[in-house]
Amino acid sequence: MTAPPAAAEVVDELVPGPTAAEQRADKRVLRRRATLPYLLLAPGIIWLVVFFIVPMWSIVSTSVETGDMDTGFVLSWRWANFGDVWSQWHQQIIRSLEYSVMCTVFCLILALPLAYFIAFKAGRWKNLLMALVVAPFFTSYLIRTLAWKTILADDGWVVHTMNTLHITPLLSGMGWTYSSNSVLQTPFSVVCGMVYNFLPFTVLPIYTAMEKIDPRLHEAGQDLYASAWATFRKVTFPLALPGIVGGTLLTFIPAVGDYTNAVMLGGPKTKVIGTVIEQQMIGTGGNIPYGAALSVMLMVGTLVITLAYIKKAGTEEIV
Amino acid sequence: MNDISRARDEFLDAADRFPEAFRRQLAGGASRRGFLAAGLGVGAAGLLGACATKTKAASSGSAGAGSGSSSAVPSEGKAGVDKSDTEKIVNFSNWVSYIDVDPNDKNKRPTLDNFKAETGITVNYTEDVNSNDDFFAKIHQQLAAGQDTGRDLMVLSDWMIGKLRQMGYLEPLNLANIPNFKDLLPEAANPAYDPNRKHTVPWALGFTLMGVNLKSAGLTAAQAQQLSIKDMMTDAKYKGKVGYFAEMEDGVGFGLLATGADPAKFTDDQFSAAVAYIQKARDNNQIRQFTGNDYINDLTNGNYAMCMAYSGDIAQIDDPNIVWVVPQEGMLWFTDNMCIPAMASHKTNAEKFMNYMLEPKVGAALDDYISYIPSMQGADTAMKAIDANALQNQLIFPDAATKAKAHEFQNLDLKTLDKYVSQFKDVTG
Repeated sequence: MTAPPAAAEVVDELVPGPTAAEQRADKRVLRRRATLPYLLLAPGIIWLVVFFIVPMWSIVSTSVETGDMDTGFVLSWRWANFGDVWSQWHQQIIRSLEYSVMCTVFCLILALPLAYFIAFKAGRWKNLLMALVVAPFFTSYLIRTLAWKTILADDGWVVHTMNTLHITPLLSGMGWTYSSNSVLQTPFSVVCGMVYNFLPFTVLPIYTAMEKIDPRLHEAGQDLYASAWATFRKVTFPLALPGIVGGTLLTFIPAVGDYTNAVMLGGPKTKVIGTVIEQQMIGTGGNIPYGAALSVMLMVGTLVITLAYIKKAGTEEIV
Repeated sequence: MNDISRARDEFLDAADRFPEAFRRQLAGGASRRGFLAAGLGVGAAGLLGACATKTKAASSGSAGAGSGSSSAVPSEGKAGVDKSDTEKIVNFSNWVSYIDVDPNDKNKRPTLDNFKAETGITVNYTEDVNSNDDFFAKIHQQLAAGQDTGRDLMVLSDWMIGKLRQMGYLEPLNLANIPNFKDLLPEAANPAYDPNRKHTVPWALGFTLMGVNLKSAGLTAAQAQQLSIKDMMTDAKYKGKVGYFAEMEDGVGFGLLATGADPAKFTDDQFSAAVAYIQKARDNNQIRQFTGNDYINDLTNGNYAMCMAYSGDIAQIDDPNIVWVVPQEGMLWFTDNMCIPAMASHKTNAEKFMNYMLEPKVGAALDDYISYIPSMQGADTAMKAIDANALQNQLIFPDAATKAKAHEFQNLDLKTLDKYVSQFKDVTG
């Protein structure tokens, strides 16, 4: 007597198993399912590799090379390049950070009321005002910056007005300018140019964030006897915070590496790290590894500051 | 990849000369193509920049090996393939405002147009030299890699000629194409930086002196003539209103004069003292800016009360408020020279152009316009027909007394030159 078949075997017999051909087909489907996401991701991955990983590798490997222009540079893993550039140019690195922090702060001071006004008070002028904020972009960055040389010229009306109001001696007392009747070729003129050039990058994200705020929240604030300032502090500001963080980053990060303003509006004492990098990479310095090391250093430094800031600001939704 | 890096260099060159020269270059047909190529290639070029450098370094080694050992510097620049017969062009890099322009049509340059009428050769003229150092940086990589810089002819100052010549980056001239060479003035024919002018023909001679904005300085023309370098560097009246040249030879030359040394013959210590003197003026905010050739606007609009200047630049300004001054301590001589970089593609055409520029009437017409000193015999006779007044102009035909106030700068070997340049760069930033 044979034992009755186990339930599983019965099922096996009742439901015929997949044939070999079917199994192969299944595997193909599975394989296709496994590879499909990668295929769909391919354009993005290729983009990342070509425009991020390769250049990153190129700049990092260049930063540890040694040699000179006439004999060529070879990869020798000389990490001491970083020590060299820090000891030689830390002043310029710190100055760049100072200028960009100042620029970001001034941009925020100007952008917050401006964005608030456009978002809540401008009414039908809203679009026109936003267009005006963006309008300077229709002129070349260089031309706009050069224009500031004319605006801030010693014989210009801006400096004359500042003289009359005794602002120039004040600035020079603070060490932002170097003489009591001119402002060009000083830290002040450089930061002026930067604020002007980066202001739209601060205004736009803040405006976008504020524009989304329901005006009825303001009414609710008033109904609850909050002053206008308290409404701004308790309602508007927290809701606009993602825009503020985004705007700050969009301003600060490019400002750190900007050197156009320092070159065109600055003088011998306002050299920033961007100029040094340019000189080392393609200019009279001629030490490409040093330029690369400075770029890496600047990139890492900016990243650390940015991460710390995002953590502190405590917002996940940026822009 | 070489195409990409060349496109990148061209693009950067163009961007360097913003905005006026940039626009002007766009208007010039020859460079437009290069600019467009650069525009398309620039993204990839930036990305591949480092790879390009490596390739060049590698090919530089092999180029060196071809001419001997890889470490030995060749004594003469390597000749490129000369396409002068088939391509009737010469690519010419010069300083801004350094050639005559038709008063009725600013896009016309009579000297170049007449050359084309005479020889059928088109001069692709680009004003992309703002300072010797910057220009050297632009072409250094290509020269080091044994590549064509895209230029057949360039105008550079005396000390830079010495540097390029010693590095083996200049092609020797074929005098058969330059019969007028024999007409060079004897004093211009054998300079220390290029013995017997084997590689160069002078473009212009001139003085490095002071330009003064009378209104901004608060001086009369007569008072301005009494100014010294020391006034410029220390007088609190001009604090923050002084422009100073960033190039070592010019900048330190004035420093040497102010500290009582002789620019033609100085010691290491005197050099250091001169640099310290300039450093002090910089630290006191006396010097507002270190400039290349781009100082004129700041002088004319009153940002500078005075600045170091090239004689012809000041003479070209049609404004009684701007005057040139020979400082009490003296001034400097300079010579700018045409030279042919290694691997140039149109060497014979470039030499024909050099020959043309040595014709007295051509040289006189140029110097009448740019107000520099002609370097060929017979220029005075030719000038009589063009502009008799110019014969009285001390900046074009200086007399012995004026010449006596001008100092040459000491000729330096490569190593000393590099040391001095980097020492002065610490001051200029």
